[in-house]
Amino acid sequence: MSSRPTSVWRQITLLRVNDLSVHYGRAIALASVTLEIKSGEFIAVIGPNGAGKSTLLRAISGLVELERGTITYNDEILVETTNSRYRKIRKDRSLMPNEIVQRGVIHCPERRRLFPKLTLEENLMLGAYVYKEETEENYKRMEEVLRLFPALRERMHEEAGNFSGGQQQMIAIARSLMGRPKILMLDEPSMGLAPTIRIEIMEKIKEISQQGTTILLIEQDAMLALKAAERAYILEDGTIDREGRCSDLLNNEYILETYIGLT
Amino acid sequence: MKLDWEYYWDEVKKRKFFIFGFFLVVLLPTMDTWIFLGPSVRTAQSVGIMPDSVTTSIIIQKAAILVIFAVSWDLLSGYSGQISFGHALFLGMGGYLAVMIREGLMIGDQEVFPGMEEQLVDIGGIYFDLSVIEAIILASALIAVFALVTGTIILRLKGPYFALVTLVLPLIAQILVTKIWGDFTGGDGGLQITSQLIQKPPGSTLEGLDLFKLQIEQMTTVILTFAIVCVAIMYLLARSRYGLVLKAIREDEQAASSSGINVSLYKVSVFVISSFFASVAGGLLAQVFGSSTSALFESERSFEIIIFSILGGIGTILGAIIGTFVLFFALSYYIKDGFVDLQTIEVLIFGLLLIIIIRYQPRGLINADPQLRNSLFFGVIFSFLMAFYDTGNMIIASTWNPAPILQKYLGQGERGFFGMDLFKVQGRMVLYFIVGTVIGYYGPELAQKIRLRLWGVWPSLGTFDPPK
Repeated sequence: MSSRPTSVWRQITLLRVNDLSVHYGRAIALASVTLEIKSGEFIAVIGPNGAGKSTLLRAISGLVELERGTITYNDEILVETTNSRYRKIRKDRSLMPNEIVQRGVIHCPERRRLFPKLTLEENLMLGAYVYKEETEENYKRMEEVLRLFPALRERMHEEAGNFSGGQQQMIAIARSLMGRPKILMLDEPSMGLAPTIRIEIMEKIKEISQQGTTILLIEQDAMLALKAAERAYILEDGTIDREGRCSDLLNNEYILETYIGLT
Repeated sequence: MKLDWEYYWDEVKKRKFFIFGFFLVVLLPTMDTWIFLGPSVRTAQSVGIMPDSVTTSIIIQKAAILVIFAVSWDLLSGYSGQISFGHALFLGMGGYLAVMIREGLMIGDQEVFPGMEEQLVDIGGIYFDLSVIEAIILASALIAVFALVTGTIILRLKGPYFALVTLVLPLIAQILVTKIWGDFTGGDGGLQITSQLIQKPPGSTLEGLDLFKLQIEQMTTVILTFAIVCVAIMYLLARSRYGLVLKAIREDEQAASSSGINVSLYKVSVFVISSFFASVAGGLLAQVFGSSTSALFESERSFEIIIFSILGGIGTILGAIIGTFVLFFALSYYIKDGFVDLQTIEVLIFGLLLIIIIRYQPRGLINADPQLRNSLFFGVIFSFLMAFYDTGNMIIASTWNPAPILQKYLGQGERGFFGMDLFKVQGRMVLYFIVGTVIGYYGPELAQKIRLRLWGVWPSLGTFDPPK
């Protein structure tokens, strides 16, 4: 923790989600969610199934249409909807998903979503797609990323679909890192993995965080997430139920009872 | 797939092929003019055990055009995963528009726009009308603009919905062309081409059939050049970073999007590129047919290349090339344009091949295991070989090609024995047997037995296994 840059830099709000609402038809996925991420922070969002956790990330990366709200990154508007009646005609000042990626807001999607028939190397290079002009830089970056995941180095020319679940998750994270994220948004990286591998992956994420990347982690395994992160938001039925420092939340009786199963 | 001549030669040596007492002929369009093979090839053509060189040339032309068409489909559907069942839309549009631009457009007595001026050029002894080629490229560019507009709309649809729309579009175009816009598209008869691509060289003394043969051969050269250039461009595109992004979109659109790829931009651009090359193929096909008819829009055209590409291997440009060229050539040579009018069973053969391939080699021949791939590949190559010997009053012919016998029997509505036959054509006896190449390749022991039964007459090509 001590190696991380602190002081003034930590005070800058990097991502601000303001009054965000998303509807899927009549179903309300998110209702008036507001949250803030300061640079360098490691934030966890936990909540039960269907609480709107993934929708939150999809909204930030511009993959779903907003009912209401704004999302700003470094005081620049990423996604916004001012007038819901005309939103289909007027795109407002929202950016396209690829432009959001270019800003360094990178989404590592749920269920890994690799390109299974492409090789590991091709997968990683596609992660650096927005830096298309700098091939050499990309290879240097790949070396850096592989330093974090040394087990992948020997299998660069294998199809990504042939890897085990844990390795596929590592590839997915490595692919996201290839895009030089300022904010890395991870959607349930521990899904469907064995407990030891979950811990291994969480260690890797902590390592990435310590290297200075801001992290927004979405997790069902509350214990795992709260132990790794600094601050957490609890999302329930599309609204933020409570927030706080992880150490405080871990002592909260309600949290222990509902999400960790201790009574 | 490793394509290496040394490797071919190894295969031939390994199989110990023997050429014994017969002429061995590889079928090429100009072979009846070869000094050594010429007389015997002409004899074979005259008695109908080989198609003539004009037929072979036309088959090659069509195969080359279909290769452009199939590769353009593979770029769209195999690479970016937007499966189109109606790629013939662009083939037909290319055919009609190229002819209209070249010949001019008349509605009734009113001229909408005049045709292009004739521009005769001579490149390497081929005397051709450059304006025809310009018209084809201009038409393709216009169709690419059309594809840009339609693509932005229909590519919003995904998977089966996109496929359904593409299936319907050529049917609509066909009705428009034959029924509604009949005034300037010529209705069912189509648009006739009056200005030929290949012109008669000035000062040439050739007349009649000789001139026709020369023009057909030059046409083959022009079309093959077109095919090589178009396919090379698409191959380079597919092998570049652009192709990699297309593959990523095929694998997972959402993941591609979260890697920062502008998915809709890429999908529309590949639709435009693919439509451009499909239109070039259409313009060339109209030149080969001598007219643009609504047959260009038929779904058979779309399905044909889909089947060829799947057989060769989808999502690999090489698979589409090999699948189309080899299969179209083989099928046309033996069935469609060669001798026998078996167009009705063509669909049956396609269907059976497709079922077998999808069951046993869903990733296509190019991705099949090497042993199977080689044996099929060499089987097809050797099936084009035939051997025959002219004794003066009898021609002994041996090949895999069952066409002459099929023609003899099916043509008269009889059923025949397919293995061997003795028949008389133009006062000459022909002894014809289907052993040799392919049977010799796949069943060396069988070939040896047949060879012994025939009192020492060797099959055209077969393995020679020394007695143990």
